[in-house]
Amino acid sequence: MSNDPGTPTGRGPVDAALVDRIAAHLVRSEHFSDVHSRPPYAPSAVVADYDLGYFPSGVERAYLRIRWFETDDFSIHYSEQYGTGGSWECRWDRHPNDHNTREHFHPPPDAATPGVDEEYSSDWRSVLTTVLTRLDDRIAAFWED
Amino acid sequence: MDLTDIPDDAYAGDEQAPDLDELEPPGALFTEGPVRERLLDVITGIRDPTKVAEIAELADCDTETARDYLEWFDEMGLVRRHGGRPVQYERNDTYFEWRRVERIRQEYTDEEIVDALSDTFEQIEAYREQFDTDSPNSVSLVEASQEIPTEEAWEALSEWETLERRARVLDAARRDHPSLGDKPDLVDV
Repeated sequence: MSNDPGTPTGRGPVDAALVDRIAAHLVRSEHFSDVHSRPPYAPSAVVADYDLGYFPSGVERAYLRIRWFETDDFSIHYSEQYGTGGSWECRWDRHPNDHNTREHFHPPPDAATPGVDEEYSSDWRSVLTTVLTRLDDRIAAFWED
Repeated sequence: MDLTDIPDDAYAGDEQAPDLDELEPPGALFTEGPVRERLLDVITGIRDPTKVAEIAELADCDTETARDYLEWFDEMGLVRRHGGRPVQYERNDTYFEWRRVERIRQEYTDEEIVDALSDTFEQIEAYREQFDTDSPNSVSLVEASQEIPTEEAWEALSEWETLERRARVLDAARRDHPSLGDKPDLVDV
């Protein structure tokens, strides 16, 4: 059961209109080289591949997979894959679960469960801004001495 | 471990740092577009009738501008207008579904649509078997999460509802007219 008694049973389908809207913004961003809204292999999500020019060459792929639902629940998964075969990932979530409050963060390097309880904005644009800003800090950290 | 911890795997040798200054600040992506884009962003995220003043505030524009655009969106069918005082608007789901249908009809052949529909039905059938019922509406998350972790139940039921929605849209595209009133279950594919 969810720890959030307000909306323990909330669920609904993917919000295709909002998912497409998110993709339309990400397409315009310098951050991403490839953005697909609801592709056949992930028909519920936006999959946005970061431009690898901003990453060191050991990183073979870095991408976001964003799902957004009509309940305003969401799951934003960030993953980095390395030439060594290793990977690094984390996830921002808002949905019913047994391990955290409805809003939570699964920390890197492997998006461990349980995660950390968090509070996110009710505005989808702010949630995405928060996530992208935190990932920008990560991109900067690659290049710090 | 926090978000700025970088494993050694990331590096394959000495490298020049890229010009990170050319990256736009993430906030700008969602706030610096033209007013009509910002209003569309706000209205896409609004699921209940909302006052013009509130929409204007969310879109960071003045109320009169919001009112003008919302009247235009109403004419185009993007929003539903609720009369009375004050006037309220909400997203018109029918419009967005109709647009999905139109896109599918433009981008896919009839055969591809039928294939996608059969594939969707197969996945729906798997959920019907898993939960031993015909519709996700007849399963409560509370019930389902007695058998499996809540997160898994939420994933499964949300995905099932998503598939039902997709089947309805694909079926409307297949019928070559944008009416969405019919139940996809009635189709023989």
